[in-house]
Amino acid sequence: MTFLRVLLTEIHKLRRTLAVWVVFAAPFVIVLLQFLMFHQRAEYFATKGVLWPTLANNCAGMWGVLMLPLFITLETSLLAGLEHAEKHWRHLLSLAIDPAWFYLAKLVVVLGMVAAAQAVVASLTIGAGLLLRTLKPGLQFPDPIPFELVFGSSLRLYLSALLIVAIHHWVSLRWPSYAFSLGFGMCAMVAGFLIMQSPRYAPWFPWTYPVLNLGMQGAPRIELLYVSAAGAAVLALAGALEFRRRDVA
Amino acid sequence: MLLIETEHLKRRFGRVEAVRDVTLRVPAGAVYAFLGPNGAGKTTTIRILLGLSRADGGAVNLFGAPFARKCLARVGALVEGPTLYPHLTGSENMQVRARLTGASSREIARALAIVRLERDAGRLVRGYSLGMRQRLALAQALLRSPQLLVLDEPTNGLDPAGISEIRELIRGLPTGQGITVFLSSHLLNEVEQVATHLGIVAAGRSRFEGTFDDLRARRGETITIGVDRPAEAERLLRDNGFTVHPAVDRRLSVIAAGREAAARLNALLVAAGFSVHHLSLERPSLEQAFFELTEAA
Repeated sequence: MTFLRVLLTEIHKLRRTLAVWVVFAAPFVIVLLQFLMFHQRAEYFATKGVLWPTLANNCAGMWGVLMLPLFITLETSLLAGLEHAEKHWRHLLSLAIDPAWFYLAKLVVVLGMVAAAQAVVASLTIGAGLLLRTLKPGLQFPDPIPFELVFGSSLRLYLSALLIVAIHHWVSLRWPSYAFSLGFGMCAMVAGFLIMQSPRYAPWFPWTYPVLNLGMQGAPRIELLYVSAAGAAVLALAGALEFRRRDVA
Repeated sequence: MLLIETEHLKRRFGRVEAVRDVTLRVPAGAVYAFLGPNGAGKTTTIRILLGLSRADGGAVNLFGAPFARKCLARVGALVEGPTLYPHLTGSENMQVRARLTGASSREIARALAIVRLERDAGRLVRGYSLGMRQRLALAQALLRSPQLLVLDEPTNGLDPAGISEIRELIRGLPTGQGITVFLSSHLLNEVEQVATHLGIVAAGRSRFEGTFDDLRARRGETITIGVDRPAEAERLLRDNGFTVHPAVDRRLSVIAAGREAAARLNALLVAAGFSVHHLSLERPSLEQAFFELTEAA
């Protein structure tokens, strides 16, 4: 009951924040780029066939590799920044509420926003295919619409990103500096680009999981989804326990 | 009943001993001023009282029982200035706090009325003046009618009109709302008009606790004596156990308590053949007493 109250408060605080707009804007940018590419090179894609899988993979790949880590960095930093900016912690944590609920409620909100962004990516992908079918008669995206393919890959991407979310959530609440939080996310993303080339080390670095899971480096590594989900659960609990013991600045 | 009771609190940050030995006793119904210069350990003590920081030693009792987070349901707090969400309106900020504390919309309206912000509650907080922010933060602290209100430097950064407004609000809380107020400040004259009790801390240690009259009485009064041979008179008084400040303009200052002491002094000097041409009794200002206590640390 207390957790629900804290969670509702966290959602209430999102009003008029950039964090909500980013959920729609970031997927839109990626799908728009893919849409323009298909639109401009319609003949090439028409001859290639397998239009829905190509569009779905391109959107998911570009989103998963380029935008998703940045999106997680931005969302966790923005949500943590709501409290850090005016040092809200000292008032929130002087209430008769276990501090762990604040940690977990904020994490659930970030996870919700990442899930929403994944749903937006999938929906826009299908929308882009349908629009291309109308605008470019050469690009006949066939029926039936492959909801399972598009939303399935979106769900897999989501699961593969859980551990990144949990890590970044801890970092952004642990250090009040917005710059540090963003810097950490950028560095981790760049490191992910390099490490994903290495079959030996890539499975040890969570920022490579979206790429490995999509099968962009060899066969899809489905087992990493379990590692990501279990790792996120362990880190969430450990983070919450650490948070309740922390001195408030 | 004591709402706050601490025993020999200690808190260290690395090599810095922020709180060395702070003992407090805050009775119900008081406006208790927790005074000390900047860096004396006031905020750290308040953080410990509110569960934001752990004590390395000593004990904290709230409402007569050892500190437990559930006790904080009966406490309202404003620590180191207002913390509000500028992208939300005044009402929305109140709703955030109300959801967390389980307060009703009627309680929100009541708290806003106490701080006289009903008319501006629909505006975004980013457009509020510092005084309005402070009042809104106070309204949040007053939600659910706490028994104890902890305010850390509540007038910091306010202009004289804002200070006067907050002072009036605080003054009315014990009688009007039945709320005990624990108020920290580094300015004695700021709390003198509202507080009933006083705790002074310096360099992390409690230096004094009591009422304003206790503070005056503790320090004693100053008896100024004009006499013909001040150096000899000073010696005589010292020999008789008085605390004497050296003569200025042929006048001696003696720290002693009460009229009886003044009469005894006079009799002693006259009996020894001195000519006493001036004798006056002066009560020390609170400021003098405060500075003596804090500077001694």
